[in-house]
Amino acid sequence: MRISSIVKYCIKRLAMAVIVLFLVTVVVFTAIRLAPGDPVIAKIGPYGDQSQENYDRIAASLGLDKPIPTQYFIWIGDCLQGDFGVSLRNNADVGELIGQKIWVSLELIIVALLLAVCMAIPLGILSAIKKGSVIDQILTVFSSSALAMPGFCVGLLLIVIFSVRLGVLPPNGYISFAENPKQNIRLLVMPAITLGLFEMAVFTRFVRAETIGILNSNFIRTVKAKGLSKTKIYFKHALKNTLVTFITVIGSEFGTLLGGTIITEQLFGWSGLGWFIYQSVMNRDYPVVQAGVLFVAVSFVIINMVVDIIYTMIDPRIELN
Amino acid sequence: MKIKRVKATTIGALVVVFAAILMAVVPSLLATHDPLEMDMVHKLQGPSAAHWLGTDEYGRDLWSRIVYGARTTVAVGFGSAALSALLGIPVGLIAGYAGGITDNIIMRFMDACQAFPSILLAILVITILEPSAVSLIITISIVSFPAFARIVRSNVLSLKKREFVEAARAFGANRLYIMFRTILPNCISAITVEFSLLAATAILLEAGMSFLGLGIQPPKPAWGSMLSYANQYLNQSVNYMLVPTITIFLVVLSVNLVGDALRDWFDPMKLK
Repeated sequence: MRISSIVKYCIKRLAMAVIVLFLVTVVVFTAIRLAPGDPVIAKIGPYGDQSQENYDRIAASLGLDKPIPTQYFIWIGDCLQGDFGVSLRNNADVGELIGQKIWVSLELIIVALLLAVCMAIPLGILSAIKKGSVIDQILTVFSSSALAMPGFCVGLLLIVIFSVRLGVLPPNGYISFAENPKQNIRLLVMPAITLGLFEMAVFTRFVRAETIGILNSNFIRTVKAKGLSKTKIYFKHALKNTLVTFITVIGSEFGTLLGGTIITEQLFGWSGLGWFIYQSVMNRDYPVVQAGVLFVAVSFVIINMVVDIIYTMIDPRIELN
Repeated sequence: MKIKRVKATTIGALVVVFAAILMAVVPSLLATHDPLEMDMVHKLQGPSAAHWLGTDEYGRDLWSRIVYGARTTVAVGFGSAALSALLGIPVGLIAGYAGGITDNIIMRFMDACQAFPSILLAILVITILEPSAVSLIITISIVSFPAFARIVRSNVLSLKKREFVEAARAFGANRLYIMFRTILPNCISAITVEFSLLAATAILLEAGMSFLGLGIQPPKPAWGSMLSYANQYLNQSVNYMLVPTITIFLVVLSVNLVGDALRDWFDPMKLK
């Protein structure tokens, strides 16, 4: 009974996801073509052959001579076969490019989220247990402050302290871990803290609110009446219940960060996916923008779907739909 | 009912918000210099008697630029929140009240808008328009009105089953009357809170867009763009970066605190 309803729910979610993704592709496809700037002229360059014949030839070779709806259907057809086209700038395979960039972003996002989670769980629980105390107030002020600053301001402050004043960390750049592990980590520290601090504020608030709710619930009262020690109550019963909902929050933050780390990546020259898509928008590199945004949207939709399903599986009280 | 004491932080927050609005309305009263007046001899200075908050890379007075920049930033913050409300409220009302297939179609569109990071959508939209304050307001509203619509919709869903709505229907009120005169006034608390949160987010988004060079174009002062230029002079003047950072921080924090206070005020039961 339950399994079949989960399957039914998944099918329904999948159908909705397909509609949403279709809309996303239409929006992106149209938006990037509405932007001023002609990729064909950019491709010819100021010193190239400016004749109309040459323009038509290049437009035709890029497939940009056809009407926009036709272009859209050709693109969608190719995508469904796993062909995302080539970059207008250097003819590189778009699928491959995104495949490289995503790992760069993932390294940053995962480290930042790990940092945030490891800090937020103890701090959030501490805040909840000592509700109203000085520690709780300091932590609340801290998380409100972190949420009231543009993310890159923290980054700027870090650069001022660690690169300009102390000179211990390089201000920006990216080098892969395989190439130079030490330098990779040195470059990762500041962007990871910049992102992590913001996420930590979000998470700490959440863990605190969730734990307070659970500590007030009936079953904790029962456990208390049973005479269980405080540590057991907090870390066995309360934490376990907090974690269930916490997973979903981490999941949706992860979905938002994919492709959403543009500003941090720009500030630290961390050449990840978000930054790559941003630069492609600026260069009117249509295939990269289309495939990049589609990739981000697909990941976002899948992550949220998986998170919701995990959520309902862990907690059978939650009704599907 | 006992009258609750207003918290000191709320008063502080209100003062900051009021100061920002005052700067936006009458900058000439508060500024000490012309915000565009250059003085290369005294560039990138720290705070002094002549320049209260120091100067930027062209020797322009930072305090005066903050004061004049407030107009743009406050306009973008509140303008975006207002336009999002204007778009989001009817959409949320219709989706929630109509239900069924209409609701489903509208909400899938909202899902599509929210299926990728807001900054990415904002970048796509702003490239179509020319970077300016009006474009920023339009862009930020497009990015944030789905959230508004969602809030209104969820309120409508719970309100439309209530007795007083049933009563209005029994009296023969038409759909529009029920939506806008019966249900909408009851969403006002959620709308006010969401409005303040959006204004704060809009100011942050303006800063982010300006940082990428897609915001207000120079020489017009705006807090976000000041920050992006300060970034290039970190080696020479930390003060230049700190001034807009702290200003944005104080204003956004205050708008958020006012939002929190409003929520508590509307919903005293939820107080922890």
